[in-house]
Amino acid sequence: MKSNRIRFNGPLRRDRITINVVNAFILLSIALLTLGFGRANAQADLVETSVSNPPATTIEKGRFWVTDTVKNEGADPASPFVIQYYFSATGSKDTSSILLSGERSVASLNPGQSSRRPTIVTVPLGTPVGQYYLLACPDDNSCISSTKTVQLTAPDLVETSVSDPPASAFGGDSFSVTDTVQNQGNGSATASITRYYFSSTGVKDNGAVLLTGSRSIPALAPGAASKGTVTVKIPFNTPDGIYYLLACADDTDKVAESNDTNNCIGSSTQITSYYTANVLPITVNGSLCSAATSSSYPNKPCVSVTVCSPGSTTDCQTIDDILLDTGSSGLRIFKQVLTVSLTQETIDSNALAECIQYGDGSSDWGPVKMAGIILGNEPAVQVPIQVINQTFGTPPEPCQGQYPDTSPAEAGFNGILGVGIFNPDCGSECASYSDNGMYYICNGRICTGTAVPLSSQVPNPVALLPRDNNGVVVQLPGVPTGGSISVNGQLLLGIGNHSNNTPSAGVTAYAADDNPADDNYGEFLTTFNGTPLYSFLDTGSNGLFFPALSSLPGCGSYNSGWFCPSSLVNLSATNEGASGSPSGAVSFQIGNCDSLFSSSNMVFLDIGGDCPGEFDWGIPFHLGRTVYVGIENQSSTLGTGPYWAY
Amino acid sequence: MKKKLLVLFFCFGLLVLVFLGVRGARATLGESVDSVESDRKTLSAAKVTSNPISTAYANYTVYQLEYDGTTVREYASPSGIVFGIAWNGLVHPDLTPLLGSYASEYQGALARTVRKHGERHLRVESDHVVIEKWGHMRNLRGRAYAPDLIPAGVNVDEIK
Repeated sequence: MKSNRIRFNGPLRRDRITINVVNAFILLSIALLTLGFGRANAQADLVETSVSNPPATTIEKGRFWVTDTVKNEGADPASPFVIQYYFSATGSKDTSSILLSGERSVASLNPGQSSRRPTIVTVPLGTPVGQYYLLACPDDNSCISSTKTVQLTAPDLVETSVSDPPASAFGGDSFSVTDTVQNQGNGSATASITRYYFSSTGVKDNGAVLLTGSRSIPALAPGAASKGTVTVKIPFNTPDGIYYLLACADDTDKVAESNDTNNCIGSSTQITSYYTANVLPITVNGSLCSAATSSSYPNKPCVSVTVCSPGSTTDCQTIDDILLDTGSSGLRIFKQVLTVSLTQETIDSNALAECIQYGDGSSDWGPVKMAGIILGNEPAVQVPIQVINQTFGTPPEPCQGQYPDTSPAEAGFNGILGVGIFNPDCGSECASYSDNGMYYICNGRICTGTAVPLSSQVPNPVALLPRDNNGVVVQLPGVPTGGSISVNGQLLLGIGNHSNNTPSAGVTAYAADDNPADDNYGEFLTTFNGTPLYSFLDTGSNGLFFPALSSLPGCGSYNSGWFCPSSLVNLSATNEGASGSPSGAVSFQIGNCDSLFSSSNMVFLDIGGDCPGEFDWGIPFHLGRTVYVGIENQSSTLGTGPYWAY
Repeated sequence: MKKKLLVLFFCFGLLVLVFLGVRGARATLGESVDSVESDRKTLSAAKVTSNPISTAYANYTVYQLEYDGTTVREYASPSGIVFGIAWNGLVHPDLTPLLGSYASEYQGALARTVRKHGERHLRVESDHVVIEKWGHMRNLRGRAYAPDLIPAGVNVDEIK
C-alpha cells in the first residue's frame, strides 16, 4: 500500500484516494481487533450460573424452552457472544454431545453483569434414544449442566406379521394382504403408511417391486398394534420372478423411529409372478372389432391402442378396431376417430404427409403427426404416426387410386397397427429419393414428393419401446373346420425376454431378405406345386393367397377371388429362409368359400384365393400357431431380424 | 432368394441383353414399343429414372425401367406390340398411361368390382384387359395384360 503511493507520480486521482481510505479502514479494524476487542475478551470471564432442567421426555424434532443465566465475572466487558445448547449423556461437554438447534445471542456484557433469557431448542433428527443432560455453553470450556436428565423417546414401528401371497399371479392381478404393525418403541408413533413389495431376496433392496395399494396406520402408542387387510395390485411391468411378499411399516418415512431397519417383514412362502406389460389382447372378429366396419370382413384381427397428445399422460384416448398388421409397419389412425390433438411433423416448415398403398390397391393418405402411443401396458412411446385423412391437401396420384380409405367404414378398420419386420415403414429408398411415392410435403393444398431421413419416417412403434422392442409374437387359437364366430388371442411385444414371449424349443426362424444392395423386400421363399414363390407372413391378409391350381376353382362372382373347391383340399408347401435354409413343410387345407361364408362364422382356418405371383400366409396360417415376427436389425434368441419364426 | 427366382425366370430362354439408347422409353399396353416418343409426352419424363433394359426371350422381349421407386417390366411380342406389363416396388404405378386405350375399360371394370376387405390382392377383369395387384409394404406387385395379345406359346404367368 505504501509502495503504491511512492510509485504514483502523477496528481492524486479520485480512485487512488478511495484505495487509501479503504486501506486506512482495514488498518484501523486490525488495530481495534488486536488492541481493543481482543483484550476485552481476554479479560472478560463468561460463566454460566444456571440452566433450567429439560422436560422429563422428548422426541426427535421435539422442541422445548431452556432458560439459562450467564454472567461476566471478568474485569473487562465481553463482546457479543452466542450461547449454544447440547444433550450430553455424561453431563459434560465432549465429542459425543449433541448440539441442539436453537441458540441465543448475547449483546456485550459489562463486568458483573448477567444475562438470563428463555430460548426454544429443537432435538435434531437422528438423536439416539437415551437419557441426556442439557448443557448451556457460552464457549466450550464453561458449560453448565442441568441437574435432571431428559429421556429421549422414539417409536419403533415393526411389522409383526404378513399373510402369504398366492402361489402365482400375473402382472395386473390383485390379491389381499393382511398384516400387523406394532409400535415396539418407547415413544408414540404418529400416523403412518404401510406399503407392500415383491422381493426376490426377502429384503427391501433395489430390486424390490412396489405393489399398488397401501394401508393407513393410525397413531400408535408404545406397544399398540394395528392389524388390517388391503388389496394390492401387481404392476404390469413386474419382471418374471419368484418373490417374497414384504409388508413395510412407515414406508413413506413419516415417523421418526428409533430403528428404521426393522420396518419390513417377508412372507414365509413365495409367489411366482409373470410379466404382462407386453400383452395386447387380439380378437379375431371379436369385441375389439367394431361392428360398423367388420361386416363381410372374415378373419379380421383387432387390437386396441391408446393414443395420447405428445408428452401427455392424461390427454389420451383408447381406440378399438385397430387392424393388427404384421405385413406393414407404422401406426395409422383415421382422423374421424381421433379426439386427442397431435403435433404435425414438418420438413423445412412444410407439413409431412404419407401415401401408403396396400397389396389390393387400397391406400391411406394423410399427415404424419407426433403422438404418444401406449401398447398394452408398456410405457408410452413418442412416435410419428399417420393420420388417415383423404381430405388433407391434395392426395398424390398413388393415393387417388382405386380404393382410397376415406373412412373407417370404407377401409374396414379405425386404424392399422403395423408391427411387421420393418422399421421404419419405407426405409432407405425414401431417405434417398424424393420421388419415392410414399412421402410428401404439403404447402397448403400442394403436395410434392420428398425424401425423409430414416429417423423421421413413420416407425414400427414396437421398435421404440424401451425393453420389448425386438419383435412381436402373435398367438391365435385354432378353429374347427367350418370356422368359429370369433376367437381371442394375444399379441406379445418383444421376443425371448420374458416368460410369455420366449420361444419353445421347436420354434424355427426363417430369415427374410433384407439386403439393401439387392432388394430389401422382406420376403422369404415358399415352394408350392413345384414353383418357388416370394412369400411372407401377414396378419393383415385374411386368407392364404397363392397361385391357383386346377383343383382349386374360383368361387362365383359374389366371392370372386376366393377358392371354391367342391370338398376340402389338403395341400402342402415348403417354406425356406431367404438364404435357402432352413426349410420346412407346411400342411394346410382349402375349403369352399361360398359355403363357409354363407355360415354365421367369421373366423376360418381354410380360406384362400388366387394370387399370381406370391404366397401370402395370412390369418389362416396363424390360427393355432404362435408366430414370431423379428424386426430388422434387432436381435433375439431367434437371431437378428428380419425373420419370421414358428 | 431373388437370384433363385431370376434363374428360374431366365430358364424361359435368355437370348440377348441390350441397352437401349432411348431416354425415358415407355410403351403402352396394346401399342407398339416403337411409339415411345409419343408415350414420353404422355408421361412426365422426369419420373422415368433410368434407361430401359431390354431382355429378349423366345417369344417376347421384356423392357425394364425404373419409375417412381417402382420397377416396371413391359412384355412385347415379336411384332413389337406390348401385351403385358408387370411391376414391383414401393408403390403401384399410375396405370392410366400404362394401360393407354385400355384405361377406360379398366376403370369401368374397377367400378363394378366390389372391394373385399382383408384380401390384400385384387383382380379386375374386363373383356380385353386383366389387372392384378398384390404384394406388401416395400414390395407392391402387380401386372396388367391383354389376353388377346399374348403371343402363342407364352404362358400368362410369365408376366410377373
